[in-house]
Amino acid sequence: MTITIALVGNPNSGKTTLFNALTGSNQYVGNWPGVTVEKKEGRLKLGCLKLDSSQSATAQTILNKHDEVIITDLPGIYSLSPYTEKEKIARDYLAGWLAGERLTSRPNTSTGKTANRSSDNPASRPDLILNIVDGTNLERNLYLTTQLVELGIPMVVAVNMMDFVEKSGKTVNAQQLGIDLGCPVIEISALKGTGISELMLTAVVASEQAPPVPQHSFSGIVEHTLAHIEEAALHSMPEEKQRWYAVKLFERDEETIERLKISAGLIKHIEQDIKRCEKQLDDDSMSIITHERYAYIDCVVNGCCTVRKPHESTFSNRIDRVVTNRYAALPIFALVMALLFLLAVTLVGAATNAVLNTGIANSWQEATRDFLVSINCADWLQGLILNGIFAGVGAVLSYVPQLLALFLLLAFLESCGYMARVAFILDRLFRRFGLSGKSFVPFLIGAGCGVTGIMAANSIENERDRKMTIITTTFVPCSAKLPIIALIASALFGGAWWVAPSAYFVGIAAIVCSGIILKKTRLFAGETTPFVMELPPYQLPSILAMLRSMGERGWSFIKNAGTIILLASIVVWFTSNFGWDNAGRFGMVAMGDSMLAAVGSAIAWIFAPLGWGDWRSAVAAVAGLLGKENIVSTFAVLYNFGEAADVIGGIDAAGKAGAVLAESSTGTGATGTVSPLAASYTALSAYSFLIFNLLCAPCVAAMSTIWREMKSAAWFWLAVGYQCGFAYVVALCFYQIGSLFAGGSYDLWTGIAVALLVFLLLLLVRPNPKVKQEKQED
Amino acid sequence: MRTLEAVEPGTTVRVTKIGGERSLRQRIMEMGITRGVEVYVRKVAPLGDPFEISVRGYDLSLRKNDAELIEVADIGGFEGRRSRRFERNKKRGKARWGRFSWRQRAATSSGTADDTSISSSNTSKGRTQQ
Repeated sequence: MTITIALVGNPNSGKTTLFNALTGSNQYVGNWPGVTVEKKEGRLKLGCLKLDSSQSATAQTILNKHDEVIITDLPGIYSLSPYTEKEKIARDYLAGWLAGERLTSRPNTSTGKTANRSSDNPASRPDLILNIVDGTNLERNLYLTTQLVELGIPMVVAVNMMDFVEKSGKTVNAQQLGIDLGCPVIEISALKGTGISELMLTAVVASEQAPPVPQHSFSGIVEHTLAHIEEAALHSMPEEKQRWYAVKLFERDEETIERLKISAGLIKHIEQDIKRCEKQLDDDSMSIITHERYAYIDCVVNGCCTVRKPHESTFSNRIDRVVTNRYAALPIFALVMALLFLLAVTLVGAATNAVLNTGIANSWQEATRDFLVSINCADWLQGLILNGIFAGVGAVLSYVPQLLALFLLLAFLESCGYMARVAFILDRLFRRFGLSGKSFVPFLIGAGCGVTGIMAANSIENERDRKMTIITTTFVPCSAKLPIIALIASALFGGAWWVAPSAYFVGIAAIVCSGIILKKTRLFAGETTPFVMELPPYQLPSILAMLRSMGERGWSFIKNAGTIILLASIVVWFTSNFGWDNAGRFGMVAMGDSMLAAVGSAIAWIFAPLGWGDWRSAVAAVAGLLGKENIVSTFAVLYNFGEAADVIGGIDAAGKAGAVLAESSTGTGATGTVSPLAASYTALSAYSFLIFNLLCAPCVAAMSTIWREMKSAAWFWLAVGYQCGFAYVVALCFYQIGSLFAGGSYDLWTGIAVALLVFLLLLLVRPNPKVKQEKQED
Repeated sequence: MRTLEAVEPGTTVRVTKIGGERSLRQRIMEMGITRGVEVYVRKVAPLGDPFEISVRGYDLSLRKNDAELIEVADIGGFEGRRSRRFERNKKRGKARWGRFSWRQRAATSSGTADDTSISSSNTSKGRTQQ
């Protein structure tokens, strides 16, 4: 038997901090069924309850009756009105509409084994609602509270951030608030850890008591209508549930009507009452309820705490005078970004490369090689282990330190509140091309790893914006694409400095153009939800929270990307070393006869108009689908350069490989049979190759993340198809029109390229069809 | 009727009506912008959009498109025309009271400024807008 507590509250109210404080490491993250909303459950650390005080006697007896206390962390929501997925899922869970599946395996500490446990009661509501409320911002937070109190579930309110409240000299009368709300109110500070024991003891005791009686009442005529509704449609329901359903019916909530299977006649009957009420108060029913909730909250709040006047400047406001200042905001932002990349990529990245590419990695490889030789290991197995697995593991490991550093710094920026300001500053810019300011974070994270960038898009509530962000996130060069850039830069452009920044510009330009183009298509057009975003007060995040966030993101990278990249390396190694040789037998063959080469040759013609129609490039492009850094290793292997074959994905190494490959072009070589890299590409075709690989569909790991996040096959294929198509068209236009300027002849493909370019430009500049429609309607 | 979008930064106004279609309006109201609430327009973003406003004790970012849906009324006198520079000068004792009536000045300097100044300005001007 367990006590289930639902933790509900506004975003930025300190819910996550409280959840971490209550559950420590006993947390499990999953998904709510059918949606991409994250579900967190955890077991209460009984250590955080001080069971020695007098009031704990009752709590103790209750605890003894149950095995454990499970806390479910619901997503941060502003209200239970179902406009976003997060709100819907919270409402469904609290109303008991969810076919509630618990996360199935949970370690049973007494036996030390994980137990498969199906949910006790499929549609069960939680035993207690723990509503966390931000003490510095009571009014808006209490809105949700007034909704929760109507649900008929036992409830306790925790006023968090009391340390801030006290520091700014304000007070909250918790007792008075409790009387006004109808349920116990405890002051806590989740960050400092004060009040938590009292809170949980009260919570445990309250879970067995009666649900709160809502103390807030609406105006006379509304109450009258609600009573009517209860009488007409809800008399068969248990009494504590009636209130909430009555309000929902008053608001004409469609889902409620459907679930309760209210007959059409009854609805008409209720409609009359509602209409009368609306006429008298001159507003529609939903607005009436919302307005009256706030009217009640106004009274409550004036009676129990010091209210902040709207024009008062808080500490955060004063910081914002500089940070979102009209002149200083963008330079400060540029500085912060530069610092971020300097620390994460350059510093940590260089350090990692220095460690991995020299000494340590080589000595391990040597040692393993010696070991394998000494046990007479078969050639192919040696190859598999050294060139397949080692290369793969090396590739993943080389990214981890950079990514961890990036994630740590991002966690800092997000929890201190700066990211919200960035969204605020950049929103107008992003809106120009169909996104919102909130899309910035996924792009930034995507510059580290596309997988985690796509997952970060989860926080965007607007469905359309989210989908568009997911599709365009991978245009930003991720850290796996840096080796390709370095390789091409050094091998074919003599290490020119402008190649790398130009790649980022191409990525950004691709995002901008895609945003504009997609926004004008039917799928994405139209603007429905308001961009209303809270600017939370600045605060110093706790180191633990930052580390936790870094760990979560880093782990998901290792788990998702790491396994797939490893697999991909093995697959590439396998297909490039095995095939059918001339006698028709299957086995290890020279590169040119391998399966990968066969596949590459078969599709090489597709890329001919792009300027690189030879089989090696096609093979590399295909290998790139499995993991972008495979392009470099594939090239190195295909061009038969020994040292470069040991490339494990570092930027430095790719640069070196490129330099070496470039050198080999100067001498026709004693080898004679090797066709050097530089000879098979011109500057134009090389850059076209670069563009194609930068923009086309991301690695398999990222693609599987897109599949998960889009939740539908159609959208997935749309995303991937658009990316590939866009990459193809851009590379084509670039190469064809570029060669025209470079003195090439005008042929069929040039014509096609010009036509495509004009088409693209048309798509960019055509007026937004929805806007045109509205103008016509005027 | 003025809309929130036309209000200049540094002014406090009172919301009179919220337009727009149902879900939009609901969203705005749930965030605390309801009829009769006081809203302080703090600033505009560097690129011109969105607004930062303070309402019900917290700060919110709102786009111009959405602000156009919110009709507001000016709060007369002291509260409405409060500006940062004025506040700063008040602290330094250099406030210019030229715009405000003697009653408002008296109310402010007595220290129980805000509540009494609203009611006094309202009674002196008559409650024209609600």
